[in-house]
Amino acid sequence: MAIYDGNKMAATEGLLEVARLCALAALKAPRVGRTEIKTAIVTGDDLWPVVEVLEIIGEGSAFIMGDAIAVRKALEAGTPPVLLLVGVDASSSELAWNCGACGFSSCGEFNAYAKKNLGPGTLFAGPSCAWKILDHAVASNWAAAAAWQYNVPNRMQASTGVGAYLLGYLEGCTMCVGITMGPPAPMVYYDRPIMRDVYTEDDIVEMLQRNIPSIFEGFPGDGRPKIRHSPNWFTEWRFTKVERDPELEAKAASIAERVQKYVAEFRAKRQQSS
Amino acid sequence: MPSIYYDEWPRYSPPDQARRENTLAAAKMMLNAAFTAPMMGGIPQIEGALIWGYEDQEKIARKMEELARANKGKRWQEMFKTEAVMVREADAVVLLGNYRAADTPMDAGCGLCGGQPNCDFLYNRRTCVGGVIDHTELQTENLINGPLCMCRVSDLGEAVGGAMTVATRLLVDARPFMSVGLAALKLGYLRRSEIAVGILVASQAKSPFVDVLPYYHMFSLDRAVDNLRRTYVVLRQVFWYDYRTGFRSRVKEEEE
Repeated sequence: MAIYDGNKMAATEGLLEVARLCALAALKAPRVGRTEIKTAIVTGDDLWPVVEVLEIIGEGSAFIMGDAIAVRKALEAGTPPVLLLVGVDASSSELAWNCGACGFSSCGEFNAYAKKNLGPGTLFAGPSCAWKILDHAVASNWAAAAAWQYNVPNRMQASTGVGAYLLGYLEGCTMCVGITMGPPAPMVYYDRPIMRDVYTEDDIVEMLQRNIPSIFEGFPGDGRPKIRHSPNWFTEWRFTKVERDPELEAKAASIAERVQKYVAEFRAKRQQSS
Repeated sequence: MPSIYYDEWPRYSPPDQARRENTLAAAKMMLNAAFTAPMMGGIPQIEGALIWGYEDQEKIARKMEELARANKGKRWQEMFKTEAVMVREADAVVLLGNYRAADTPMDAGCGLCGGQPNCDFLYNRRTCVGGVIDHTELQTENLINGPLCMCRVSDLGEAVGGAMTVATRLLVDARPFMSVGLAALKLGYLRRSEIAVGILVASQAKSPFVDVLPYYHMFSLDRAVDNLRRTYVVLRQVFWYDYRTGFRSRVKEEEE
């Protein structure tokens, strides 16, 4: 007989056990076509490269940065989440339905085009058979639903999916979503407590002014409405302007370059060690 | 053939109403689960209400904004104001209260309320006639007329838990709120309870109850849409554009 620390067990063995069952669910999920689904489970220290690559991408995307920070803080706290990857190679079709959803009049035409033009986008690779994308989504939904059946906090993420996909954690895929599970707590991926103090109030207000300017817009009758930036907006004029931002463009280029470099180095290191 | 068309926008349009009715079906099952939840001794002590529709949800939201102002704490204020928006965006409110918590305690001397092997803590702090608690007497100026029997409060938790379980099983978004419960309580939606929890229920693309902006009462989607209506209507006029004559350059092109 033994007494186990329930919290510790749930955070380690429990999460992995549920991730296994979620992978089963993904494989068992109903299909519209005959799509092959690939799964992998990433745990512990193998999550660090995902965090690091997402933090580079996140410099240009607040949304992705939020996911990177969530996983990083969980790792640092000693309660690592478990990442279930659900992927698919959608770049060919054997259905012969000739449905036209991909934009070609036959599966043959699509296959011939895809063979020649297979290439990466900003997230995943294409072109894609619509039914494989759809089946993959059903499968990842089933995996997430299984996690929910077991009351494990989880979130289906393109971000962790892309990170793991770039690092080659799930080879032979053109699309991959990550379902991050745990740590066990009431709120992990919604209303993220760990995001507290990541942004200041001023950060968020500035972001709001850029994103929903109509709320901050003064009387627009002069065709160049003043922005209500503070109670003194009538005397201290400020306006919105559509402009190029060379700084931002350079940053985006640098991010892409650094991601590429990180991924290449990681893959080389991984190949060496295996 | 009859058909039902569903959509979640615009709010309260016929397709949205049709969708809300389905949420109501789930909310009704949640209430049943609350009543069948395990309770100490199986004693009946839960009352519930199902509140929905623009009028009543708005009434609760307004009450919450009033309660927000009644407290000087900034965090409390933001919480109440934000959750008032959530009430407006919800499909329905499931309200659960325990009508025994104040005046008919468990009498088990469990020690939860006062840390004594008896119920003295509760009885000594409420107005009694003989040993019977007068439920109409106010004990405090606080929002909740305490102290309460913690066994009963625990059983209210069981009821909330049961309702929440059904909500997740039926794939509707739900979240329990103290603020909603208290506002609805003040408005008299429950008849006998001193403590209540309001569970907001919705079946929309994105749960209205998580991941919101700071100062949400100012930056909610409804406020954004309303502000766009405010500015757009003026902007539409400022160029005095005649769509029939159009731009001279384009008219010339077409003539050629």
